[in-house]
Amino acid sequence: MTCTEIQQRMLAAILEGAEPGHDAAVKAHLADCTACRSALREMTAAWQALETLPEHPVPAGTKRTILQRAREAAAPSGRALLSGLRAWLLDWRNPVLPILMGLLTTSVFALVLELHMDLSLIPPLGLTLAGAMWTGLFALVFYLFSMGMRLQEHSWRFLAQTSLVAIGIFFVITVFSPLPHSVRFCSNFNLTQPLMERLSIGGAYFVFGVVYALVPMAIGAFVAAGRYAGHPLLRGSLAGGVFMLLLAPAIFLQCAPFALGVVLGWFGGALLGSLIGGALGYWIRFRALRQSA
Amino acid sequence: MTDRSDEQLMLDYASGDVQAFEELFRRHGQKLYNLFLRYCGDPHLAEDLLQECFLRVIEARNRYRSENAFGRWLVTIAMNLLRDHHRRISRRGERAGSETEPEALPHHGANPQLHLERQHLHEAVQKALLALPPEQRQVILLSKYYGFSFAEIAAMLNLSPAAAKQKAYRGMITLREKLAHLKEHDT
Repeated sequence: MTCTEIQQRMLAAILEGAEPGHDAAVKAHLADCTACRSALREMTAAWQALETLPEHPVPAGTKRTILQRAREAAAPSGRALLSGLRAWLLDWRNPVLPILMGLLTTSVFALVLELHMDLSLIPPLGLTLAGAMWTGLFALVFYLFSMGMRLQEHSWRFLAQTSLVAIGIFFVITVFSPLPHSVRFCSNFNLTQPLMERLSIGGAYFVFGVVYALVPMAIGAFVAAGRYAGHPLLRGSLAGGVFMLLLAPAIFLQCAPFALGVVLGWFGGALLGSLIGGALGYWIRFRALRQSA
Repeated sequence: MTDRSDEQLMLDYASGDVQAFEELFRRHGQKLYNLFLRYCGDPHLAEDLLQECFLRVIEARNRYRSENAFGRWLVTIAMNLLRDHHRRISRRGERAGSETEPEALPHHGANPQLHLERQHLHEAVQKALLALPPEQRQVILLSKYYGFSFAEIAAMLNLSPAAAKQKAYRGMITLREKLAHLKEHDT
């Protein structure tokens, strides 16, 4: 090694707080090279000389001015209060915004359901419990979403994003064609009547439950899968599970006037549709992305 | 005194807790003042820079996110401030801090001879620092006094880690040349 290389090594060691003499090559070279020994002395002395500079306190006047400005800025004013509130609300650790969003979403969805069925058929306690549970579930999913965004946890974000998109699509479909209306229509329609007669009422709700969960979930997973790679079956079905949780109170609220067979058929169908839809939508998008790459 | 982290203190100040800011200033004010002082060698300029730096912190309090370590965030603001300062100077065609003579700061000591020797050493070291180009000076100061890694320094100065290291090497070679006359026992 040349003297220049050795001196670079010694400098690197000094800058990184290590002992240059601990490097075997440097040690061997220093034993025979007076110039490098002298260079090491100078480098160490220069680095240590920087430590000799004294620490000075901040002049009192400057300190006073800075703290005064900090006090003035923190004094409550309309604008400051508003921006403080905004910062507080948007802090991802604060659950207030997800809870508010959960309440809002539940209220909108309950209103949508009320347009198509009489919610007064459900006892007040059941209605309150379902509403609270639904709000809590939505709040959790919104919290998961904001946490995934802030911490760059893509898996959490995917679960939340997929299930929220899917539940949104489910409600759009419900507005235009509520599931009980579709079952009734198919039971009276000439072409589908024989098939519907063969299926029991529970079976019909199972089949429609599959379709009404599979379609939104497949679309939701397809939309959200673009950013993520791998494990389509696992990720898709997990997202389907989260969607099913959001869907369950909607099914419960719509099922109140029906028999147990219908309720079980619808729940079973929705669960199957959610899991298949999640995995299918994710897999289609995943495959398309892989082929285009 | 408080056990709250710097990041928590900054968030608390953003929510209106002035004592949190006072604690942050107690923890970081002097260190930053000395960084500016060593960088420019001019106590009045160092005061102005310190004031400007904390004013920027105050203004940005609602945009601060706790994922950014406060110390690094503060020093990044300080480095941006130094960059702006250099731009202003070069626009006005003034002499940069690196060309000015370091100002003597008050010292207290019982032994006048020792005091003079120390004064002489400090002036030599400060003069050697001021002879470095701005970025080399910044890298050396951040490495020496803040103990930041080259990757951290590179991120603060918008450089690659290799470039930051290179600047530190060059700066150290210049310092070595400038301070070669100092005997070991002086330091």
